[in-house]
Amino acid sequence: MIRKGLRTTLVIGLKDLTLVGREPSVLFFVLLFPVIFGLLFGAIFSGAAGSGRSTVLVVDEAGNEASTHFIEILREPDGVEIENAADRAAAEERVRHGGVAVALVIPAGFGEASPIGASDDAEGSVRLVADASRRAEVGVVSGMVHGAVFRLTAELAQRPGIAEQWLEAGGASPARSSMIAAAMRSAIGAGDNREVSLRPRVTVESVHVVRPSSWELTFPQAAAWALVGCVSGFGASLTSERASGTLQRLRSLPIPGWPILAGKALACFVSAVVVLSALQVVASVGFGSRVTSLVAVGLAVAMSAWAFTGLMMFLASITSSEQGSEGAVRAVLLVLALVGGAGAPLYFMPNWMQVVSSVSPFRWAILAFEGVSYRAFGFADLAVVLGVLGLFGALGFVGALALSSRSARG
Amino acid sequence: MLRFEGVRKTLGRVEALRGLSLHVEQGEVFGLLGPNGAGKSTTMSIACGLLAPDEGLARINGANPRDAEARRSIGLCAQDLALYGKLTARENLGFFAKAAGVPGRSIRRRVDELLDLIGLTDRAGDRVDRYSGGMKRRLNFAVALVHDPELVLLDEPTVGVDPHSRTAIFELVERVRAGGKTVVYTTHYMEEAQRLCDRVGIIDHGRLLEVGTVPELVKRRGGRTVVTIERGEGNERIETTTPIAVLAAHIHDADATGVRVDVPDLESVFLSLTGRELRDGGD
Ligand SMILES: Nc1ncnc2c1ncn2[C@@H]1O[C@H](COP(=O)(O)OP(=O)(O)OP(=O)(O)O)[C@@H](O)[C@H]1O
Ligand SMILES: [Mg+2]
Repeated sequence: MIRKGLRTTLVIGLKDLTLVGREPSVLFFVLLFPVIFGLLFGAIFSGAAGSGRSTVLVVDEAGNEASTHFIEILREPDGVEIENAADRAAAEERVRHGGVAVALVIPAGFGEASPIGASDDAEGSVRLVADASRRAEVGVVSGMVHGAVFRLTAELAQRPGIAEQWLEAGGASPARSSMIAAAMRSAIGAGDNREVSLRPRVTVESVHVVRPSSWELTFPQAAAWALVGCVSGFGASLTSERASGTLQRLRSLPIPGWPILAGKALACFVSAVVVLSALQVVASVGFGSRVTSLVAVGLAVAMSAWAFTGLMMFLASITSSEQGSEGAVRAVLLVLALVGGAGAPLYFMPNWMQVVSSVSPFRWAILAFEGVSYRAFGFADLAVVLGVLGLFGALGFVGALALSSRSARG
Repeated sequence: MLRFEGVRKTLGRVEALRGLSLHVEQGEVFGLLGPNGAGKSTTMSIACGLLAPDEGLARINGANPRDAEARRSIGLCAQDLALYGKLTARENLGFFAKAAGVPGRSIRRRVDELLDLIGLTDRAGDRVDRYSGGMKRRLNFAVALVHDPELVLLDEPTVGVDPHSRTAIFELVERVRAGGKTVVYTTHYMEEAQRLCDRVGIIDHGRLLEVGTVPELVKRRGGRTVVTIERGEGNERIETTTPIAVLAAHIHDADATGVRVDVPDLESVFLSLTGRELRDGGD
């Protein structure tokens, strides 16, 4: 029975692929549109930067008066949005996944005295962890951080007793300390800061060694649009089969019900795999988009196709239970795609949007394709993204089954 | 072959079937005659397992049509065309044959046979959306036969069809019957029921009102023949069971300008059963 069912699934799937092949408009949306999209936006966003205030993820390991004041300076009008992170690992993770462009680590001992002549990577230095794909944004933020460090140093040095404390911590005698401190204050007052060698230093560290080309940035989005095409194309074909009665005819045949839907799902999955692979080939061969490994790309393709096949089945079963909601389904799909960063990249969006975007499977598909390209995800990072995609697919199928068994009883 | 016992089915807010009972015998063409909304299509959907009865039972050779295996003996030709417009006639037939589980080696022969049967061999390679309405109807019929079912359910197969295709479909039904199949044929044209069906069931408001051969029905429920003698000053209307005798009695009637004889038919049967015309409003 199962073998027969699988055979029927295959027969129905093949028929659907034939139908797609004969539908020029579907072909356009599934195949051509994503490629055109990739080319167009790839050309437009050559190293574009975000707009509005940047967000900086802060890990305050110092937790002292100096670090608190430092963050206040950064936060001032015309400064940056501050978000707190639990620890360095969490912050790096967020940067790697594209949540924010920059994370700032304020280490323990920040603002305390450091010995004269200590090297740049001395303890107490602020570290920037930056997403190299967002160069312009990183540049702006690191400029602001440097400025804030300078202002903080100057303010601290003006306070009575502070410079003396620093100097004594550095090993100077109290008498000598007060003499140097006086000299320092007059130097800063005169605007000459070359003498101030006691400030906490800033080093900028980048997480990514590779910088993406604009093609590498836009092809994952093109993949998202290819998925929009697949989902709406096959969803519409399922709805039209229902309306035209061919679905009823199939259900009147001496076969169980599941291969009918499974065949449709299979055709959608195969189309998605073919289209995504084709896009990847265009991106890699035509535009030099890098890939970490073929296995990783294969997994990203397969899991995205799976997730969106599930979404297609779910949306199509909603359409069946409520007449005329096909337009609404398209709208939902479009909103999900835009929220998921298939239109403007996520980092163009306000923070709350970036959080909301997690509900969109498009976000995860885009991340998977970025992950196997310039973001160079390791196994663990990739597994998380693929797992989320797998979950979306499974939820879609379960939802579709629940809806269709409810309507079958009607 | 097909048996319904007290089947009830509510669709939305409409009680489409209200305790319908029905027995269709092996090898007969059974006509289900009723006006729009009588419940004909609902009966067909239940017979082929697309819908389950709310109450009562439906059986095909003793088996429940909701079970896939039981449906092997049913071929449904639904009222709405159920074809893939983007595929050719040959591809449509081939696809449904494969999906129905017809063994691969016999599919080609079966498809050729059916194309020949419906006279579309010449156009077999054309896409269905380029066909005329009548050609689509014939193909829709043929698809119901791909897996050689014992029982063929034809739901108003002549709707919106030109006279030529209609005749072709009548011939198809005759050929199917000649092949020893059982046919259930729904229609709201009494001429079709009269011409094609061995037995006819009159259905209205989800109930089967009367069943029998056409002569039986007419005899039981058709009332008497009406002979109308037409005269200049007014017509004389005579109800009789012996119209020839009535005519003989008037043969020397010098005032008569004409005569009309209305023999009872299924229309009069329907009228006497429901008090309404069969075609209320049109088709
Ligand atoms: N899906 C549905 N939802 C709600 N009501 C329905 C549905 N399908 C049929 N009905 C109603 O059930 C009744 C019987 O419909 P059915 O289609 O069986 O009639 P029919 O005899 O085939 O009519 P026709 O000659 O017009 O095809 C009608 O009143 C119809 O409006
Ligand atoms: Mg009907």
